Amino acid sequence: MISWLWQRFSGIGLLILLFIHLSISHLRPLTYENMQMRLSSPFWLFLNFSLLGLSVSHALNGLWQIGQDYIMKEALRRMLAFCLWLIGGFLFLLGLLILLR
Amino acid sequence: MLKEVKYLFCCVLIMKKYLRYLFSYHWHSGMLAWLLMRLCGIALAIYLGFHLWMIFWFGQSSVFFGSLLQMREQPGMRILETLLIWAVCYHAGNGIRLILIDFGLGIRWQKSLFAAVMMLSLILSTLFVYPIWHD
Repeated sequence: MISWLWQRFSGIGLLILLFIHLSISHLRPLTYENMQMRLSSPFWLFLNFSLLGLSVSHALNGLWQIGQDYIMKEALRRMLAFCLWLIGGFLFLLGLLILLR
Repeated sequence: MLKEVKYLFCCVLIMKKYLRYLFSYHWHSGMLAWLLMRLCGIALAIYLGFHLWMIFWFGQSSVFFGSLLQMREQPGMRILETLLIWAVCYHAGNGIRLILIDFGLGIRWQKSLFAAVMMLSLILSTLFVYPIWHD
């Protein structure tokens, strides 16, 4: 129930943030200087930070829901959850390193 | 040699049985929407990890980032990026459709909604993909 609800809320958030992200990286020329300039302003940092958190949680929550469709054993489900938490922590750390470099 | 031929034959038979099983379903637009949503979701989850890793690795300096941008110019990469953007647009559009259906809105028009989502995703992805192919 919580994972279903979170999928909806993060989906709506991503819908807005991801299209901002896409229009910045595709409708304007993308250079290193532009990226650096954007990452130095707190507004863009906050936007990217929320995009990172929402996208990682949405993706791994989606994989968890797919896993629930096919994995019936409780122990295997717990193992899947453990793996997903591990991957999620790693991806979040990677994103933090990018944003706060 | 005969053993390998026998093995291959067995594989073909199993494949045939599986395909017949797959097409014994009643294929309809809702099923296609669900399948595409799931496949796009898995692809996007894999891409997210790839994307973060690439930006982390190539974002070290201006020169590194330039080489990434150059790699992006290759035709294969352009095709992959086009597919990626279509997947994003489709996943987003079908997500809206799913939320509407969860609220009980438009259940009767879900087939036309699926067609609308397809059209919308094609139009939106064309808009975003245009600068990749024309610069």
